Amino acid sequence: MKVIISTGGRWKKLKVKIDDGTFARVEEIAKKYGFRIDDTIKMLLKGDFIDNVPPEVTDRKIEELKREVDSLKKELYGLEGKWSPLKFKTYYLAMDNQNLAIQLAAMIAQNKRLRRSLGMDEKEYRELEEKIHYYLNFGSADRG
Amino acid sequence: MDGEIEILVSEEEFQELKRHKREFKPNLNNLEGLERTLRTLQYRYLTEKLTELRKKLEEMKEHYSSLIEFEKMAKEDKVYLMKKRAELSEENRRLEAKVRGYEGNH
Repeated sequence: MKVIISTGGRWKKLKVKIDDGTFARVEEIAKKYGFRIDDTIKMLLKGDFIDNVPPEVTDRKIEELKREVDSLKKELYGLEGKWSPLKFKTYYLAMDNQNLAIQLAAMIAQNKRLRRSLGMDEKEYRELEEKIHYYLNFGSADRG
Repeated sequence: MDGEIEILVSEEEFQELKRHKREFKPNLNNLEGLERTLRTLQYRYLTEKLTELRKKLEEMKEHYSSLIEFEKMAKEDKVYLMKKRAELSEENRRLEAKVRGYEGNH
Protein backbone atom coordinates (compact mmCIF):
# COMPACT_ATOMS: atom_id res chain seq x y z
CA MET A 1 0.00 0.00 0.00
CA LYS A 2 1.34 3.38 -0.97
CA VAL A 3 0.62 6.03 1.62
CA ILE A 4 0.78 9.63 0.44
CA ILE A 5 0.87 12.27 3.12
CA SER A 6 0.10 15.77 1.94
CA THR A 7 -1.12 19.13 3.10
CA GLY A 8 -3.51 19.24 0.15
CA GLY A 9 -1.07 21.23 -1.96
CA ARG A 10 0.60 19.96 -5.09
CA TRP A 11 4.19 19.77 -3.96
CA LYS A 12 4.29 18.93 -0.31
CA LYS A 13 4.01 15.20 -0.30
CA LEU A 14 5.58 12.35 1.62
CA LYS A 15 5.32 8.90 0.14
CA VAL A 16 5.63 5.76 2.22
CA LYS A 17 5.33 2.21 1.08
CA ILE A 18 3.73 -0.15 3.56
CA ASP A 19 3.68 -3.81 2.67
CA ASP A 20 0.18 -5.25 2.36
CA GLY A 21 0.55 -7.62 5.28
CA THR A 22 1.57 -4.80 7.61
CA PHE A 23 -1.15 -2.53 6.27
CA ALA A 24 -3.81 -5.19 6.80
CA ARG A 25 -2.62 -5.68 10.38
CA VAL A 26 -2.65 -1.89 10.99
CA GLU A 27 -6.21 -1.75 9.68
CA GLU A 28 -7.17 -4.63 11.94
CA ILE A 29 -5.64 -2.98 15.05
CA ALA A 30 -7.27 0.38 14.24
CA LYS A 31 -10.66 -1.26 13.84
CA LYS A 32 -10.28 -3.31 17.01
CA TYR A 33 -9.72 -0.20 19.16
CA GLY A 34 -12.07 2.10 17.23
CA PHE A 35 -9.52 4.41 15.59
CA ARG A 36 -9.54 5.88 12.10
CA ILE A 37 -7.00 4.37 9.76
CA ASP A 38 -5.43 7.74 8.81
CA ASP A 39 -4.93 8.71 12.46
CA THR A 40 -3.49 5.28 13.16
CA ILE A 41 -1.01 5.49 10.29
CA LYS A 42 0.11 8.96 11.40
CA MET A 43 0.62 7.67 14.93
CA LEU A 44 2.53 4.67 13.64
CA LEU A 45 4.80 6.68 11.38
CA LYS A 46 5.59 9.23 14.09
CA GLY A 47 6.22 6.45 16.57
CA ASP A 48 3.88 8.07 19.07
CA PHE A 49 3.83 5.01 21.29
CA ILE A 50 2.91 4.71 24.93
CA ASP A 51 5.51 2.62 26.73
CA ASN A 52 4.54 2.56 30.37
CA VAL A 53 1.26 0.76 30.36
CA PRO A 54 -0.40 -0.10 33.68
CA PRO A 55 -1.04 -3.84 34.12
CA GLU A 56 -4.82 -3.39 34.26
CA VAL A 57 -4.88 -2.28 30.61
CA THR A 58 -5.95 -5.51 28.93
CA ASP A 59 -8.38 -6.41 26.15
CA ARG A 60 -10.48 -8.22 28.71
CA LYS A 61 -10.73 -5.13 30.90
CA ILE A 62 -11.61 -3.04 27.83
CA GLU A 63 -14.49 -5.37 27.00
CA GLU A 64 -15.66 -5.10 30.60
CA LEU A 65 -15.51 -1.28 30.45
CA LYS A 66 -17.43 -1.25 27.15
CA ARG A 67 -20.18 -3.35 28.68
CA GLU A 68 -20.31 -1.07 31.70
CA VAL A 69 -20.46 2.05 29.50
CA ASP A 70 -23.30 0.52 27.44
CA SER A 71 -25.24 -0.42 30.52
CA LEU A 72 -24.89 3.07 32.06
CA LYS A 73 -25.91 4.66 28.75
CA LYS A 74 -29.03 2.48 28.68
CA GLU A 75 -29.86 3.43 32.26
CA LEU A 76 -29.33 7.11 31.48
CA TYR A 77 -31.51 7.03 28.34
CA GLY A 78 -34.19 5.20 30.27
CA LEU A 79 -34.18 7.84 32.98
CA GLU A 80 -34.14 10.67 30.44
CA GLY A 81 -37.13 9.04 28.76
CA LYS A 82 -39.07 9.10 32.03
CA TRP A 83 -37.78 12.51 33.11
CA SER A 84 -38.95 14.56 30.09
CA PRO A 85 -42.68 13.68 30.26
CA LEU A 86 -42.63 14.06 34.05
CA LYS A 87 -41.08 17.53 33.73
CA PHE A 88 -43.77 18.47 31.22
CA LYS A 89 -46.52 17.13 33.50
CA THR A 90 -45.27 18.90 36.63
CA TYR A 91 -44.82 22.17 34.72
CA TYR A 92 -48.50 22.16 33.75
CA LEU A 93 -49.47 21.15 37.28
CA ALA A 94 -47.54 24.14 38.62
CA MET A 95 -49.20 26.38 36.01
CA ASP A 96 -52.64 25.16 37.22
CA ASN A 97 -51.57 26.07 40.74
CA GLN A 98 -50.37 29.46 39.52
CA ASN A 99 -53.82 30.15 38.03
CA LEU A 100 -55.44 29.09 41.29
CA ALA A 101 -53.01 31.37 43.17
CA ILE A 102 -54.02 34.35 41.00
CA GLN A 103 -57.72 33.66 41.66
CA LEU A 104 -57.10 33.15 45.38
CA ALA A 105 -55.09 36.36 45.74
CA ALA A 106 -58.07 38.28 44.35
CA MET A 107 -60.49 36.35 46.57
CA ILE A 108 -58.47 37.07 49.72
CA ALA A 109 -58.43 40.77 48.85
CA GLN A 110 -62.20 40.65 48.35
CA ASN A 111 -62.65 38.77 51.64
CA LYS A 112 -60.62 41.40 53.52
CA ARG A 113 -62.64 44.20 51.94
CA LEU A 114 -65.97 42.56 52.78
CA ARG A 115 -64.94 41.80 56.36
CA ARG A 116 -63.84 45.43 56.80
CA SER A 117 -67.18 46.63 55.44
CA LEU A 118 -68.99 44.47 57.95
CA GLY A 119 -66.73 45.47 60.84
CA MET A 120 -65.46 41.93 61.21
CA ASP A 121 -61.92 40.89 62.16
CA GLU A 122 -59.51 39.97 59.35
CA LYS A 123 -58.93 36.27 58.85
CA GLU A 124 -55.49 34.71 59.03
CA TYR A 125 -54.37 33.40 55.60
CA ARG A 126 -50.65 32.93 56.27
CA GLU A 127 -50.29 29.37 55.04
CA LEU A 128 -52.42 30.05 51.98
CA GLU A 129 -50.59 33.28 51.24
CA GLU A 130 -47.25 31.45 51.38
CA LYS A 131 -48.49 28.97 48.78
CA ILE A 132 -49.88 31.80 46.65
CA HIS A 133 -46.56 33.62 46.82
CA TYR A 134 -44.70 30.44 45.88
CA TYR A 135 -46.80 29.73 42.80
CA LEU A 136 -47.02 33.35 41.69
CA ASN A 137 -43.22 33.37 41.58
CA PHE A 138 -42.98 29.91 40.02
CA GLY A 139 -40.68 29.86 37.01
CA SER A 140 -39.15 33.27 37.68
CA ALA A 141 -36.04 31.60 39.15
CA ASP A 142 -35.69 29.45 35.98
CA ARG A 143 -35.99 32.49 33.78
CA GLY A 144 -33.56 34.51 35.90
CA MET B 1 -2.81 -5.47 -5.41
CA ASP B 2 -1.04 -2.14 -4.99
CA GLY B 3 -3.43 0.38 -3.47
CA GLU B 4 -2.95 3.98 -2.58
CA ILE B 5 -4.17 6.01 0.35
CA GLU B 6 -3.81 9.74 0.75
CA ILE B 7 -3.73 11.26 4.18
CA LEU B 8 -4.31 14.98 4.50
CA VAL B 9 -2.44 16.68 7.31
CA SER B 10 -1.89 20.22 8.54
CA GLU B 11 1.31 22.03 7.68
CA GLU B 12 2.51 21.60 11.25
CA GLU B 13 1.82 17.88 11.21
CA PHE B 14 3.49 17.54 7.83
CA GLN B 15 6.68 19.10 9.17
CA GLU B 16 6.55 16.86 12.21
CA LEU B 17 6.17 13.75 10.06
CA LYS B 18 8.98 14.96 7.83
CA ARG B 19 11.23 15.21 10.85
CA HIS B 20 10.43 11.60 11.72
CA LYS B 21 10.97 10.31 8.18
CA ARG B 22 14.03 8.27 9.11
CA GLU B 23 12.09 6.53 11.84
CA PHE B 24 9.28 5.43 9.54
CA LYS B 25 10.85 2.07 8.80
CA PRO B 26 11.53 0.96 12.39
CA ASN B 27 8.18 2.38 13.49
CA LEU B 28 6.37 0.38 10.81
CA ASN B 29 7.84 -2.75 12.32
CA ASN B 30 6.62 -1.85 15.78
CA LEU B 31 3.03 -3.01 15.44
CA GLU B 32 3.15 -4.27 18.97
CA GLY B 33 3.86 -0.73 20.14
CA LEU B 34 0.97 0.53 18.03
CA GLU B 35 -1.43 -2.02 19.46
CA ARG B 36 -0.29 -1.31 23.01
CA THR B 37 -0.77 2.42 22.40
CA LEU B 38 -4.24 2.15 20.90
CA ARG B 39 -5.29 -0.26 23.63
CA THR B 40 -4.11 2.19 26.29
CA LEU B 41 -5.80 5.15 24.58
CA GLN B 42 -9.05 3.24 24.33
CA TYR B 43 -8.76 2.21 27.97
CA ARG B 44 -8.27 5.84 28.99
CA TYR B 45 -11.18 6.95 26.83
CA LEU B 46 -13.47 4.30 28.33
CA THR B 47 -12.52 5.02 31.94
CA GLU B 48 -13.08 8.75 31.38
CA LYS B 49 -16.40 8.04 29.66
CA LEU B 50 -17.42 5.82 32.55
CA THR B 51 -16.63 8.51 35.12
CA GLU B 52 -18.54 11.08 33.08
CA LEU B 53 -21.55 8.77 32.68
CA ARG B 54 -21.60 7.90 36.40
CA LYS B 55 -21.59 11.60 37.28
CA LYS B 56 -24.32 12.38 34.75
CA LEU B 57 -26.45 9.48 35.97
CA GLU B 58 -26.05 10.58 39.58
CA GLU B 59 -27.15 14.13 38.66
CA MET B 60 -30.03 12.80 36.60
CA LYS B 61 -31.20 10.61 39.48
CA GLU B 62 -31.12 13.60 41.82
CA HIS B 63 -33.09 15.75 39.35
CA TYR B 64 -35.55 12.97 38.82
CA SER B 65 -36.20 12.37 42.49
CA SER B 66 -36.58 16.10 43.19
CA LEU B 67 -39.05 16.27 40.31
CA ILE B 68 -41.02 13.36 41.80
CA GLU B 69 -41.09 15.17 45.14
CA PHE B 70 -42.17 18.39 43.46
CA GLU B 71 -44.96 16.58 41.61
CA LYS B 72 -46.22 15.12 44.88
CA MET B 73 -46.16 18.53 46.58
CA ALA B 74 -47.82 20.28 43.61
CA LYS B 75 -50.61 17.68 43.51
CA GLU B 76 -51.29 18.13 47.23
CA ASP B 77 -51.13 21.92 46.82
CA LYS B 78 -53.63 21.79 43.99
CA VAL B 79 -56.11 19.94 46.20
CA TYR B 80 -55.47 22.43 49.03
CA LEU B 81 -55.79 25.50 46.77
CA MET B 82 -59.02 24.21 45.21
CA LYS B 83 -60.47 23.54 48.66
CA LYS B 84 -59.53 27.06 49.80
CA ARG B 85 -60.99 28.54 46.62
CA ALA B 86 -64.31 26.78 47.28
CA GLU B 87 -64.30 27.93 50.92
CA LEU B 88 -63.44 31.53 50.09
CA SER B 89 -65.95 31.63 47.26
CA GLU B 90 -68.68 30.45 49.60
CA GLU B 91 -67.64 32.85 52.38
CA ASN B 92 -67.33 35.83 50.04
CA ARG B 93 -70.75 35.08 48.54
CA ARG B 94 -72.21 35.01 52.05
CA LEU B 95 -70.45 38.20 53.13
CA GLU B 96 -71.43 39.93 49.88
CA ALA B 97 -75.09 39.08 50.60
CA LYS B 98 -74.71 40.44 54.12
CA VAL B 99 -73.18 43.67 52.82
CA ARG B 100 -75.98 44.03 50.28
CA GLY B 101 -78.60 43.35 52.99
CA TYR B 102 -76.92 45.87 55.26
CA GLU B 103 -76.84 48.49 52.50
CA GLY B 104 -80.54 47.77 51.67
CA ASN B 105 -81.54 48.42 55.28
CA HIS B 106 -79.77 51.78 55.39
